[in-house]
Amino acid sequence: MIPAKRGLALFAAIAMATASSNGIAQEKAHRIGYIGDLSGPMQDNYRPILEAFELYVKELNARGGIDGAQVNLLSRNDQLDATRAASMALELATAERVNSIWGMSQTRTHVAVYRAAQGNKVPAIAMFSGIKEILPPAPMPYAYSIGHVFEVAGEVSGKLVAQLQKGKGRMVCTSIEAPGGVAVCQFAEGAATAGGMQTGTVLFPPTVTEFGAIAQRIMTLNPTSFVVHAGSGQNVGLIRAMRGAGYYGPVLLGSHGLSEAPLIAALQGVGVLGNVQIVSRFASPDENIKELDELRAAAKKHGKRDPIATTSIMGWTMGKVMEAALRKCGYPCPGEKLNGVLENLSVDVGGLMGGPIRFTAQDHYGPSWWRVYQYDEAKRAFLPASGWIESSSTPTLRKQ
Amino acid sequence: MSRRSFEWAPASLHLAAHHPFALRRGWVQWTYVLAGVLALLAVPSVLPPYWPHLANLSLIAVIGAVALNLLTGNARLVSLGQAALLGVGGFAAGLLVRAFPGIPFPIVLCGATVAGLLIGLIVALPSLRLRVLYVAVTTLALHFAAVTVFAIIQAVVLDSSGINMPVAAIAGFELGSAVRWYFVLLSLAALTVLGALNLLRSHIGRRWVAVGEHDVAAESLGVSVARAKLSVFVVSSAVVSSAGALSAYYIGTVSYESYNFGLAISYLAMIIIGGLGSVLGSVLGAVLITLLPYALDQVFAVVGLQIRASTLAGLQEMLFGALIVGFLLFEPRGLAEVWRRVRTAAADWPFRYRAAQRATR
Amino acid sequence: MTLLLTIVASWGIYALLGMGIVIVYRTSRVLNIAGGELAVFVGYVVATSIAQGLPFAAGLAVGALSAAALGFVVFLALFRRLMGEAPHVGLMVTVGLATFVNGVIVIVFGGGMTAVQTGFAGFVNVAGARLAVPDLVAACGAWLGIGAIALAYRLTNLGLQMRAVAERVMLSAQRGVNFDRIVALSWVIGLLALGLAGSLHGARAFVAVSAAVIGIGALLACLIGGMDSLKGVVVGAFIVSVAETLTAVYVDPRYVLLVPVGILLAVLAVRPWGLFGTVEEFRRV
Repeated sequence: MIPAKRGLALFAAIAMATASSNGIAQEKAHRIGYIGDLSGPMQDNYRPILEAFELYVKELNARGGIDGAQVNLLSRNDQLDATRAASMALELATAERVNSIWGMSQTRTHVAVYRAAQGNKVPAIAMFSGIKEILPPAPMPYAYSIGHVFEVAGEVSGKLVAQLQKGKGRMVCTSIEAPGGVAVCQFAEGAATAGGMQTGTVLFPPTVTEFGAIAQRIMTLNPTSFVVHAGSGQNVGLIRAMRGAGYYGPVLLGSHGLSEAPLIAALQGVGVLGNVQIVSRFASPDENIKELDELRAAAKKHGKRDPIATTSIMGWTMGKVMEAALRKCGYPCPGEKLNGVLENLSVDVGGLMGGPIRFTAQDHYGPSWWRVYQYDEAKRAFLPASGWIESSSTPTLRKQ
Repeated sequence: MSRRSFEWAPASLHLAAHHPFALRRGWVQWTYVLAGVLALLAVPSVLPPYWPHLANLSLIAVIGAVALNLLTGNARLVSLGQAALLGVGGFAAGLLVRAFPGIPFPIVLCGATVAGLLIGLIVALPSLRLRVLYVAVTTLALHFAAVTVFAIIQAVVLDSSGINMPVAAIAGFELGSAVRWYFVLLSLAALTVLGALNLLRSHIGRRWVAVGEHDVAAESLGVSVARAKLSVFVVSSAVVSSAGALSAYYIGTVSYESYNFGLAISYLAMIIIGGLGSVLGSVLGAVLITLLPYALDQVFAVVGLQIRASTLAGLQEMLFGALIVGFLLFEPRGLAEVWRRVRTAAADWPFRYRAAQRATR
Repeated sequence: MTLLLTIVASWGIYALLGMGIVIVYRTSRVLNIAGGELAVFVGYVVATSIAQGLPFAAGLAVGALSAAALGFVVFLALFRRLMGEAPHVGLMVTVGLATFVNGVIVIVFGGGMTAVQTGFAGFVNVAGARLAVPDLVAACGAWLGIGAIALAYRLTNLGLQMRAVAERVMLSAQRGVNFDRIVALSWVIGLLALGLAGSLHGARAFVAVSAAVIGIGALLACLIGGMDSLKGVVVGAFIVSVAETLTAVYVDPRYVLLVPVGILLAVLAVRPWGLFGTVEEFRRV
């Protein structure tokens, strides 16, 4: 047989499949899109967010939806690639006709997605780190973020360290050699300097997998306090290496979608978790608050056995924002109308965060509340160790 | 030309099937060509709105793949530096736009091409004395050097999460939509394909093929191996770089993370699966590899299997790798060869093979 | 002192990985670009078996078995058919293999970050310096592995045959060396080395899809030292690990990858076959 015949048949099958999947069911439903890195290098950070968001949507639909309208969630995998993310955004907006795009993955995909969404008048709301284009005074239209913005996260870290160390000593900030990492440490240093401390920064390329040498370099700066904003694997490597290099002081981790359980598991064996703190905008997964109980109940009901982490809380919070926005919008709710709603929205998420999520026309990010969590050896968990500290969305303390 | 036994089939069909570079074409071929061109031009109006975007991505890939095939397929210099060159084009475009706001799109394109040309020259010079394997290694090293340099540029010099590109405009005609981009990219891709075909037929292209087949023999025949390698490197790099600049304008941002090793591998896959040394192969391979992830997504969505997204992506990667290995092992001349077989079979139908012909030309 | 241990450990791991690549290259002239992914795959096998409750040594044994099996399968399925092809074909097949293995890792193991728990915790005080035990384990394991391979290569009959095939194929085949078997053996040993390196790296740092980047460092070490020289790869690994570590500590971590690459380019410009490689380039497999 000629092999080409099989090839032609397969091609025809794919073509038909592609063509036929464009049919849209005509029921009363909101169609929302989600783009995330579900299988690429950072899937550990992003997949739990989607899973929690899906849980929220399922629960919402079970309760009857929003005034009778169900919510159809269409999720897409961008594998951390900006081109794919933009393509997915385009597909969701044009072919699938969603009224909003949620989630998004790493910062590098954001501008492409925001642009594609803007071009099709569909608001895009990032859950993970946002970019400064959403900050006041003139944010990009149709672009929002519930997640951290690196500049703000850095400034808060610096302020916290200055507070905790009472303005004495030297803080060293470490992050990935990427624009976000550079921003984090610039503002962290600026805030710490404003608080009276000495500072230093060490950046490393994302390809580094073992941190012995980096730890040595950090030690040459004689830190009394150490701030890290990196991915899970790198956090583990760095903390181990720092303790190995003889640093016993406090370590402050930026919670950029940290999953606490693997961190604790990886570091238990080496016994280095004492004096490690996490700064986060969200509640700790081990707390007992009403909203977390709802999340846990939903997880149990739908058979999710993994322990919940900060990333699940992020997804659940995003669900609340989505519900509030769609409820205020009414039905039908096309993208433009939803954007109008988002430009004047305040959502109370209860104990999940320190304060409400607030968007305005000039500020697509809003003020944020942050809290410090300390590792508790006895309970083997991260528990709150401070009150909520407010930060505006305009970080000002950049290092000069 | 011998008289065929079956008059109803045009004489040139058989000729074209066996001689890809036959200079004489009959009315059948021209009809097909015309139909093909019309079909391509009709894509935006006939297919649903998302397709022009996918077509644009494929066209950019076609430009890059055709250039890479000249280097790796014809001159047999395996290059792993594709991602680096695309990045050179992208960053050249981005930096030019940053430095001279309002600079017109065609000028930026030329600038990116020149940048690629220079980088190609710099990389080619040390590789001239090296054998194939070492050229591959040098391009690998180029890749890592380039990616690190891009990262440093972006994080230190620019301090942003990517360079935002303005909307491209040619002499006032704004490329604001996928459809407009489609026609521009279609013309550029057609230009590249025709250029490659012509180069391969010319004395320059023949020298490249000679060097690729057996460089020692070529040298002894009087072909300057060094000059041939240099020219193929320079031409290939320049075109790939321009593809990178086009991509930068189309996607809208330039960020160093998109130029990773996986991108280089996917371009290699395009030409391996398409057919090393064949321009048609580059086109087929580029379209296939670009559309494969999206097609797989759709296939799995239609089949309705509740596969976890991570499993799906893992399957995609496995399929990718299996395709590369499979084609290398079983069909080294790629999709182009498959296509040739289909054509020959169609020409010979209802017979399975052609009887021996008297040599007449 | 800690710095010394860091250098010795990463030197050992790069050298071990590099040996895995070089052994295969010597007999079959295929440059294995998939070294990093294969190492990470075996690392995952070891990490998962330890997480299921096996002690460290048993986990390593499981990893070794799977690595050997993998090497044999890869040879049988792929490289056996490629004998006689031009060298760049093998290279491109390994590129495809790397992508394939990546996909398998994501499906079977999830691709997330995990670590190889050695079972030895904490730190130990040696000569006044505080050394991390996982680092020590990794360093010792790597150098033991290198020593074992080197000894086997030098002293055993099979090692002799492998060296013969590496130098003169036709002559050794005429003298009765079973070429197929030797190439298969070299793939098995190569994968064993890769797997051990991946597992030790997992003990020292972590195992994740992104950890496959250690393959790049190993490749640089091979190329600097000479693709067909075992002695060369040890020297090359030394250069790479020293360059990386010293750049990270005394210059700036952002240039960590750039310096070894620069050294490689310099070596290629002056002596393309590496510091210890044989001067002539064979076309083989």
